Amino acid sequence: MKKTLLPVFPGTNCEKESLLWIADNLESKAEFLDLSKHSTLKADDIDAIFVPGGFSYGDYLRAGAIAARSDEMAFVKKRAVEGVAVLGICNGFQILCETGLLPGALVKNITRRYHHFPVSIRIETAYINKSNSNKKCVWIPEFNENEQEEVQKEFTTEFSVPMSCGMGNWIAPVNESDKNIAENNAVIYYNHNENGSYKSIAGITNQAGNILGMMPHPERASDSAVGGVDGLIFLLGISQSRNIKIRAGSELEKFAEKIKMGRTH
Amino acid sequence: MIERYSRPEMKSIWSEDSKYASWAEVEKAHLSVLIETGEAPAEVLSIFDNAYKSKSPSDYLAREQETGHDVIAFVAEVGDSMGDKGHFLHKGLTSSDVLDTSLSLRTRKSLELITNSLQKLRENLTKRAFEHTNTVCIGRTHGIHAEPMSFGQVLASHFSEFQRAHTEIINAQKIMSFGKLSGAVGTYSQMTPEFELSVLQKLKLQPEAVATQVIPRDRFVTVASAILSATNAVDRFATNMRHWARTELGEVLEPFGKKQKGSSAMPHKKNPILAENLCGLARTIRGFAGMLSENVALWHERDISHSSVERMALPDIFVTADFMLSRCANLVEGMQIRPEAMQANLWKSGGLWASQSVLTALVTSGMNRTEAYELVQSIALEISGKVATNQINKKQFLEDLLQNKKVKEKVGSDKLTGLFDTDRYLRSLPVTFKRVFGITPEEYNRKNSEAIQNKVPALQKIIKVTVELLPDVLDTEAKTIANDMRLSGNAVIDMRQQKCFFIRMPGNSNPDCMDKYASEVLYNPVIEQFKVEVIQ
Repeated sequence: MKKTLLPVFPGTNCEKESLLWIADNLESKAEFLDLSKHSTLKADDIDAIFVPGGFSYGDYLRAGAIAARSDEMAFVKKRAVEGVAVLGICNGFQILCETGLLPGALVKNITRRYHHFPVSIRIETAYINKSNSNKKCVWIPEFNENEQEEVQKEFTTEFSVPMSCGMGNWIAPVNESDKNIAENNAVIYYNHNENGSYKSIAGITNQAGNILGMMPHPERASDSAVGGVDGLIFLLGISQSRNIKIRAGSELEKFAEKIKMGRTH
Repeated sequence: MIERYSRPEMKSIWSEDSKYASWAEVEKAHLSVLIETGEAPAEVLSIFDNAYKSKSPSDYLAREQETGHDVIAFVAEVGDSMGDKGHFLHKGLTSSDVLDTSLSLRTRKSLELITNSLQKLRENLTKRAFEHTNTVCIGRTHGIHAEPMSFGQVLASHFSEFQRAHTEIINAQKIMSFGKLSGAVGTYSQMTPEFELSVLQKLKLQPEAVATQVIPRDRFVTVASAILSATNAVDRFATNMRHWARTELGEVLEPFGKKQKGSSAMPHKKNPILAENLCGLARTIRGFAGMLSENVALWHERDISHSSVERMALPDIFVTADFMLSRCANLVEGMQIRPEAMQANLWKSGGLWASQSVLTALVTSGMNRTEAYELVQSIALEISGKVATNQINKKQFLEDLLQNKKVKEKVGSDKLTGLFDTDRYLRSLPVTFKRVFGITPEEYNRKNSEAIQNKVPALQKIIKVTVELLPDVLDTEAKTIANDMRLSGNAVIDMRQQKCFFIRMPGNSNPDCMDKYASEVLYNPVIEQFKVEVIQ
């Protein structure tokens, strides 16, 4: 079984639920990244890397700035360039931007407040719909144009995932061409843009589509017992694109069954 | 540039070779941007390099005989050797674009050498000041004994003056970090402000906000004034040195070599010639500074009356100032400080320096101030008349005070005797040293093993990195605070916050590394801008 690695920094506080999110739902060995054990792992030994949320190094300087310069992120960067799937949630997203793996930067929410509530988001249709072959992201499942229409409709119009951030306002790169590329790679949008992000962008991928960063926390919307399973869509995506088996009896298995039948609930 | 008053490194900046090299640097930056903007083919740079390498100053000078214009001679010589790519050289530029931009480069580099010489001088002064914290000498005003003090504090006062000069020189470097490629009268008739910015960025210069044909000459007056603050500080120190070395004082002597001779006629002479030389050179610097300040009022968009002055004054002011600072550093390092002579001189006036303390003691005991003053004065003046002829005892003033019934009764003999203890005059020393050097003598001694440029805060290099959000990124915190300012009744139009990093490095380190670090780590180009400045 390949591994899914989760880098943890001083201040990370979503690592446990993030680890369980992977371990409970996928046939992948989820482990906290430990360079003394993992530094020799090749791209082929790794299913994915998940940079979880919380804080890192007090978020001194800028959110994620110090973590971005850590040995752990140097490792992540190397593997990411080789094509390993990477997901960054919240502080993980900020770290990915600071590392330069994703474009742009995150600043204080426009409301000047800490946002801790579910937000309504949508996935850009082109990513979820197979017919558009130049927009792909390993974390988003793909459906044929006329299949699972209800599912496609829901996820491309509105679903709800909790948010928990003070610095969730995504700013696009200054340079025009970088800005256009970044905009073109926007995967997830806010419906109400609570944070004030540029063009309501909530999550973006890189040109290759193997790295996804987003502010809302899908790992917190993945258990029917605690309010919704819509966050599982991203795990469905990675299991599909990277051929990772879904764990029997898991929430994800139930979720995938329903999706297969064209239902979301 | 007088050979015996110059040092090779500074001299080379002002040599003909370096002049042409600095022109080449600007022309090359200009060509690079032409390439970047697609106006010139990439091979132009190497063609230029080869053409420039094949020429020497004598070629330009020969050509100048024909052209009567130095920049045209340079451009023609190099341009001709560039063959069919020659027309890219100097394209759209006016001579002053190259001359003044390159002059800024050379001036800034010279100022950097000056800061290095000053660093050495400040280090040497610091060492000597801390060596002599407990050395008591007589403080003099008007050349007359005033009150005792630490000789370390005397040196600290000189240090502090050099420290201010150091700050001035650093500011002058900023004032000289401007170039111009705005053409004949500063209107960008042949190129754009954006093009200028790209060229100047390669040279680490900023664009002159509004140039005439030249960079305004008040910038050079600022430079001259910064240099003056350093050389005038040398002048004051050297003047004191000459007094200390006088036969009657003998408190500090210049280093004197075993085979050195003082006078061709009088074999006994040990003259303070280095200090005298420094005082003389300081006068020439004031002359050069005066010359440069004559250069500000040019006709309309410029005339060329400033050029001849600068050809003399700029090399000379830098070469001479650099020489002075370095000579002064050696003088400070090698001067023989003689505490025993200071002690002897201190007691030559019979302890008169305690007069104010006696006055204060009498007033404290309840005596009318005028009465007390006149009483002390009458006893003191009796003694002071005899000081020059050595007719008095070491503590004559104390003896005479004890003889006076009124004084003895009011103050008491124990207290009076105590007033003649010189240690009382050293009490504020830790505070003063902490203010001047950032470290007390006690701390200094405790950190004995550390290098001086590391342990003395005043000798460290301080780099300030300022990071702020880009103008169009919302500064939520500042906005909240600004609102409160308005609510408190202040007419606040706008407010932005900045983040400052103050970085201390050993005094002799190169701050360029912080430029790199700041650009890679301290700021995020998506949302922020930053500025790196050396502030000490």
